[in-house]
Amino acid sequence: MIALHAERVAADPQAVRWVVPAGVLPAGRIHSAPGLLGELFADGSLSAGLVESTAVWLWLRDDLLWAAHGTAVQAALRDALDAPNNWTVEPAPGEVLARVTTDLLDGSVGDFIRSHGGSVSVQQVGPDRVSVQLGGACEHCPAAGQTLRSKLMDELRRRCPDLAEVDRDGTALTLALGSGPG
Amino acid sequence: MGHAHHGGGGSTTANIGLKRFAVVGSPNSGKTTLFNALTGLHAKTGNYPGVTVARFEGRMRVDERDTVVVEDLPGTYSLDPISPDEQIVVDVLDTDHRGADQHRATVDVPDALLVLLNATTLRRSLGLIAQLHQTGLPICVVLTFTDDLARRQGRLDVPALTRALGVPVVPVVAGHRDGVADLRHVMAESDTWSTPVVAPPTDPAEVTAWIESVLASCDYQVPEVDHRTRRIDAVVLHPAIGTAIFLLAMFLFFQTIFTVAAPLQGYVEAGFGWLGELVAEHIHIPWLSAFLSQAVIGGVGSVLVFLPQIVLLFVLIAVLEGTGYLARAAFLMDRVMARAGLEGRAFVALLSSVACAIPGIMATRSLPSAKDRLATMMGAPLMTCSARLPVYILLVSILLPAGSRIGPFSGRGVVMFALYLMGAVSAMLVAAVFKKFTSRGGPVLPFYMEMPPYQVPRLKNVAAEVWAAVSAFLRKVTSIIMTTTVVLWVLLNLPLRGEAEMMAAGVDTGSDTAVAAYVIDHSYAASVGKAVEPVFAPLGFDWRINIGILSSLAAREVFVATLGQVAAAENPEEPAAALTEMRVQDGPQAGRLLFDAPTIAALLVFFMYALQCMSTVGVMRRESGSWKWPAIAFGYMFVLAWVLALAARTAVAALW
Repeated sequence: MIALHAERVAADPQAVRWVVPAGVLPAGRIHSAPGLLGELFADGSLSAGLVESTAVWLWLRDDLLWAAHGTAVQAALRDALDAPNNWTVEPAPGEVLARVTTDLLDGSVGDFIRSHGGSVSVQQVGPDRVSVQLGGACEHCPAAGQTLRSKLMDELRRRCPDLAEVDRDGTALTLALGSGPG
Repeated sequence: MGHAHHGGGGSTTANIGLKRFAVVGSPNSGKTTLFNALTGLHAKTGNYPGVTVARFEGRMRVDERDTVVVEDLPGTYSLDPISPDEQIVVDVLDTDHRGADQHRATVDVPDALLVLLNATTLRRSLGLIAQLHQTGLPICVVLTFTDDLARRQGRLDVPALTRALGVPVVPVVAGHRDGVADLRHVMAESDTWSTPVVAPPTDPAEVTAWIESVLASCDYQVPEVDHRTRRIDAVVLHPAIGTAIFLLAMFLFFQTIFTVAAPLQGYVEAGFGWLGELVAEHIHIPWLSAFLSQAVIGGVGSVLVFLPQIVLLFVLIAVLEGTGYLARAAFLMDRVMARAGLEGRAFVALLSSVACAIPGIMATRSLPSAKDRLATMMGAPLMTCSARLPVYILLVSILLPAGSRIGPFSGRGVVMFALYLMGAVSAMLVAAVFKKFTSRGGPVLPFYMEMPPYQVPRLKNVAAEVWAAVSAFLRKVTSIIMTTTVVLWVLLNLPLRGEAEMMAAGVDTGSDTAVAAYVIDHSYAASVGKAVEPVFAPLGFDWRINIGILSSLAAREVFVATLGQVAAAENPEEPAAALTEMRVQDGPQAGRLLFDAPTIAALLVFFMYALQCMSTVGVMRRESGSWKWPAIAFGYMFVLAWVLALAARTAVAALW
């Protein structure tokens, strides 16, 4: 049986990040899925889906609650993951990277930066790149670049093994996924 | 069962309206340590309605404004109960029945749960979390033993665990205040605790997959078995060497009881001697002076002089437990017990009986099989409880002079060791025999015995445990022993005798001692003691010993108190000497030393086997649900005690 569990997404009550074993599915945007999960996509109960290396993100339609539908979605996802070849996942490296980076900055990495009086923003630039910008107390801090790299990059690499650093300019960082899936 | 919280100090009535937190976790997850850290000394105990599973709850302040109630639930691995105390957890957490009927209404359903997870055995503990989410109660995870995990090269990403579980996770390391302070803050905010966005699954296979996923996401690395622990265990858990070490440890302990505690006992005795002089000097009301010197100083005081030994006994137990050795002893004995068809839990119950049979019998609640419970209950009172300690020490001290040696060892210590050993062996044999008679054998249910790594015991824990035991002893002395002794003093001094009658009997009325001796010898108590003489005469007991035995039904220590009273009446200056020199007054053996070797042997054996403890009988009734089993226990133990005492007397008389 596929090992999985659900994690809350801090800033988005309609999203759930389902942690799954690495490499079951290719990363990208979900177009279709097999079985019951596919039906949930088809009837609009699930409004969107995104795959990162160790998780599947699913968004529930705005008027539905995870508390009520979570168990059913969990069962459907479990079954669907047993047939990974029947999924259609379209590569979307920029979107995946932006999502994962935002997720980290909403969580422990962001907490660290904020605890130092800094602020941070993420922006998708182009189809496969994101740009991370430090602000606040970080702006004039000589250690800022270092902080960003060591804290964020370590965490990001764990979530996105093929992460590449494209450009670094003071407090700004441009990132991409080394080889887009598919 | 009447009022639910008998003895609980009306805890629930006082705690109505306060927010309740229940502490849930597996055995050895550090539950009780956390509970004590949270509630300090404000804990109260009572019982759950209908059963005698002890209930612990206490109050704590979470911030400047709010006080909450914390309840320590029995340890459990799951919500599928296999034993009575696990059933309690299920009942208390059964939110669907909130106040549904009268019986339920008395069980306060908690408002929130503090779930303890032992970081070193996380895989096993997480299933409980999955089940607990079914209750719908807010959950906060308290992560314990993270220090142990790190020391043993294990790994756990706590923020990741917090995300994966979707609930607050607070690491609390025993003995460190920071964790407890953090927890206190989190508890103050229990209305806003996060909940999992999707509840964990319930199907067992899905739960296993869920646990797998949670552990992987928080980078969990199972701790290695501690190197030091593994090396020590290779020796200590060896069937032959380990058993030898265990016996040696016990042997040395009983040596220390006599070498270390005896001088301390001397001080306490000297203290009471001084009190006796004060009474004689300053109190001139004859009956009051007699009451104080005989009942209080002679009787209760003679029990109190054993305080050093009691303290020492509990220090040893607490130290053995604190180092982690006691779990190994249970493991060793588990193999022996398994041959008798009993499981390790049974030995844990027997081991608790070394302090007192009552917690031992209560500990049988952890036994899933009713047959095993009964068999263990029948054996538990044979373990040498701390109440036998004063009786044994008194008798052994009369039997052997202080300096007597067997080889290089204290003779008294060797005899004490033998008595404890015989008690333990008898308890196990009896449990095995009862198990044979009551059961044709059934499936042995799984039993987790945690092997905590060896460590230096915390002084604070040892002190707390010893204090708990000592204060219980002191309470017993000032309540049941004091009461029985006073009643006995009255019975020993009534009816009042006129001077003329004594003159006629040839008593020197000028001597207080002679008068006291005459009054006692012709008291109501004496008539009772003489009435049962036919029963005990073959064992060499006279009416004074008989009275001691009868009164010791209240508590075994009363035997010492009773003999103390009689001795104090006969020789107020040196009651101890009076005992050694006491002689049989009449009958065919008149003039023989009352406490000669054969009689002492018979008495020791009698006390080893007889169920001279009504509290044990009472607890047995409550735990087994009828008078049948306590009656069987009392009967078989009396017969065993009498027959073996006679055998011991005969053997010693032939050999001494």
